[in-house]
Amino acid sequence: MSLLLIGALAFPVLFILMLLRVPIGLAMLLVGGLGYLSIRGGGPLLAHLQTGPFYTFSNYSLSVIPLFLLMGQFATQAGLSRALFNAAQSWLGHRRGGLAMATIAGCAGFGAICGSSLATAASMGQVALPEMRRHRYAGGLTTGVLAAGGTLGILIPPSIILIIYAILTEQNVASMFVAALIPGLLAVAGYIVAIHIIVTLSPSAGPVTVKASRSQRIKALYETWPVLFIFSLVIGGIYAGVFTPTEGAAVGAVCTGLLAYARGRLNKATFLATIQGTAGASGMIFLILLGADVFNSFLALTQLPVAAAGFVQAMAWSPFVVLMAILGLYLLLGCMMDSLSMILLTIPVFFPIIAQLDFGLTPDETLIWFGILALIVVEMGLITPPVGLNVFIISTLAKDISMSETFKGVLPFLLSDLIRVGLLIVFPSLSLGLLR
Amino acid sequence: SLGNTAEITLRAHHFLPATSTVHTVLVEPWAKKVEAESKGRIKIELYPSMQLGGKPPQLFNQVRDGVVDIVWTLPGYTAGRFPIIEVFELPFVSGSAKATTLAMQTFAAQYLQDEFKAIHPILFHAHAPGTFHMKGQSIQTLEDLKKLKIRAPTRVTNNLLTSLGATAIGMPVPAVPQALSKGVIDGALLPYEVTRSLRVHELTDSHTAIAGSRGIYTAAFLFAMNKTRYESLPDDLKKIIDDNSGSKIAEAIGAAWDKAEEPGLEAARALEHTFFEIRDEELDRWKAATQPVINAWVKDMDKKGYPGQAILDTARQLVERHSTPK
Amino acid sequence: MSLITRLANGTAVCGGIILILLALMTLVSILGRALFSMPVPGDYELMEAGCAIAAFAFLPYAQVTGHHIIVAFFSRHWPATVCHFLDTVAHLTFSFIAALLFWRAAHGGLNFYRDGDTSMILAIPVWWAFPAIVFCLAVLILTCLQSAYSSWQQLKTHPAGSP
Ligand code: NA
Ligand code: NA
Repeated sequence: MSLLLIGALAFPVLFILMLLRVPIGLAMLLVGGLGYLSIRGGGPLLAHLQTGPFYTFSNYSLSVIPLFLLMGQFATQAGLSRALFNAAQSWLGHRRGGLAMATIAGCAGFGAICGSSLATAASMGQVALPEMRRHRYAGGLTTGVLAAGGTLGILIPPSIILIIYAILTEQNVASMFVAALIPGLLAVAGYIVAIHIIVTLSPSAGPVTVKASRSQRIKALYETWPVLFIFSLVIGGIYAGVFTPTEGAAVGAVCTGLLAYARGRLNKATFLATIQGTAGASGMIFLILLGADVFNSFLALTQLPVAAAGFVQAMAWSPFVVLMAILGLYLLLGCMMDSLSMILLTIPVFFPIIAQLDFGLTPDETLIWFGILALIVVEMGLITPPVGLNVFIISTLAKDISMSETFKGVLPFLLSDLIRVGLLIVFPSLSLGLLR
Repeated sequence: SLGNTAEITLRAHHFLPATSTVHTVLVEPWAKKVEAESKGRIKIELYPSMQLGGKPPQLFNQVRDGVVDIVWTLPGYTAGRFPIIEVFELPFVSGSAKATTLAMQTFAAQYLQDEFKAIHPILFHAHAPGTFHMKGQSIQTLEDLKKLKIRAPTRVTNNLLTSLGATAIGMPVPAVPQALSKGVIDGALLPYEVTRSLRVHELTDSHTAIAGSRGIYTAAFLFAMNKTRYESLPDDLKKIIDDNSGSKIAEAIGAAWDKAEEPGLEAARALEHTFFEIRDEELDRWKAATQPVINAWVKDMDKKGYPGQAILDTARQLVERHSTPK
Repeated sequence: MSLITRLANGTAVCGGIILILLALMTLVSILGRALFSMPVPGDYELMEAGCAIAAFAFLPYAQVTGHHIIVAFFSRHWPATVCHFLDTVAHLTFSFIAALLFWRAAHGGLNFYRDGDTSMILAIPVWWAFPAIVFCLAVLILTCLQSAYSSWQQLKTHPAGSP
């Protein structure tokens, strides 16, 4: 059997294992390991496994992940999601659909200090869900807005997926964060417009609430100062180059931890919950990283990535056709997979293809721009059926709303995502402008 | 074609990108030459940028354990494991890339056999002496170094900078440009070979080199093959590897690394930077200041049961011999 | 809580505390670098090694709490017995992989001990990280076996074919 065939077969085998309820990280480890074994024999694989996992985990660029997760956990304990939602509610609540808009604004604020979608959805869900239910918001709008708003956790920097993408493509993490900024704000605007259209078409879906007084608004806004402070310090510090992303995440974790402590929110139970939340999410991510390391080493051995790039080059398709095909594939994969696994699995194959396409940008710009497009599309996977992790998280919080209702509820937001992707393809400077 | 009839496939792995000096000057041309001389019986697959997995410090074990067949790496990445070859990294031991590389071949036969017995070395080599690339602060005397934050690549350079009174900051090379532009470091000690691709020349304004034929620091490189794999080759193919190993290629590779300095130096000149040289009495003061680093190394070697002073003297004599133009 | 679950909890808490200490060390290093030109020596390598230990310490906890992502959509409508059977097989496979990682890491640690690898700046022996890592991997084997056992128990308590 030719090596290329082995490489190409690995993907269907991987999907079959996933369907058979094998955890994704384990499936990659298994298929990668067996593939490696079939090409190189047992000796090299056993030798690689002696120190390979240790070196995979002891990577300075990856240390940022558990630290950002810790920061998000402390931020939840410090009650920042509540402060953010209250502020947004006091400014937007009196509008039709205002609580849903406030949820989006709150998610965006929380996303500015949290690098993970799931944590953002879960954290804001605990605060916003009871409020929207109390004011009799429609079920699908309530859960749909939370599931979609959760994706802002990744779309707005800091972002764990962007960090992984930057490592895989040898791009600067700070540049990736800057390139994600305007697309992230566009996402917020697009979601708010989507809510506006929903409540215009169906006014009972998002009733108005009491208008807050000017002083209440100012006070509520003031309460969010720690978010602004920590975001400026961490993301500002990373962008200004005062410290590395890992150092920024460490500073952020210490700041949010101190804040939670100063507010009297840290006791033995909440401290334990913080560590456990970090441990669970980190353990999940690091198993996927371990699986991807072995899988991608195997894939390189088959020379499939090189062959795929050569094939695309020989076909001489228009760069935009290739781009659309890749983004379309991401949408399809996103129905099944989580965003991290998708990026880790596909970027080693797509990276050499994208790097040689000419979109009238410099090679670095092409990779950054593609990274932002890929980020948006893989994040859509978190809210597309059948496997949408954000929808699952919200469903565990809102047991009275059926999952199919939630999946219907996210449709307008998916549409808004697609429009944003189109805008970014037509106007790359929306993402690259701040870097030039 | 011949490629399909190859009887031996060798996989070569290293951590730098395909655009790096090592890939374009050493690994790729070497592979092509060996393939051609074997008339297609050997095929060499190239995997830059750690494509076969792992981190740079793993490369040595990868070639030792047969995870891959050929690697290019820095023995210094597995710190503490190859103390003898470290002698070339000590202050004022190395010379031009060519001189150091030539010296290393003779030295290897005498002192490195045991240290690298687990693998089959193809070539030991080194880069041209490093230069201080500074932003805002120029270095002309020992006193100028006080309190300056300078990026150090290895433990020896870390100790070297500390002995000179500077603050050594350890960070990965790719982080250097940003650290420079934001003032996290005041400068970096690097060969010009890497300054252009890192755009260090755009971020600095003065450069301080050491006068004479001795360098303040270099890094020792290792290009090596798995031992069992090498020994399993038929004699005629073994000979092709041998004909492209050690002293057969040392001069060309050393000269190529010296030449690789030029674009970076030209780029800095084009920007009308200022250039300084440490010479004469000032150089003597630097040598005196860094002597403790050398003494500590000799003492450490003695403790490990190696003739530290003799190794140091040999390395110096060999570099000296190859530094004198014939 | 079973002893194994408590063990997994314990390693997770140790990993979390290491992570918090690393964050504090980093803050001290940044301040030292900015104010006194004096960063914590070897801060990068401490972060790398510490984070690696923490990551290994988190693996058993993620397993015991079911954090690992499973694509459960298609199997949703399958009989419960089939799902429990598949889960038992998956957990047993993970136990096997964990045992493999445990065995190789033990060798890796011994190799580092024998070869004398040290960290770049602080010259700390690399093998020092391995007793903790090997211990975490041992706990991982136990947690995977425990998960396999509990899936197997569920399989036995469900009458065949019932959802
Ligand atoms: Na974020
Ligand atoms: Na999905």
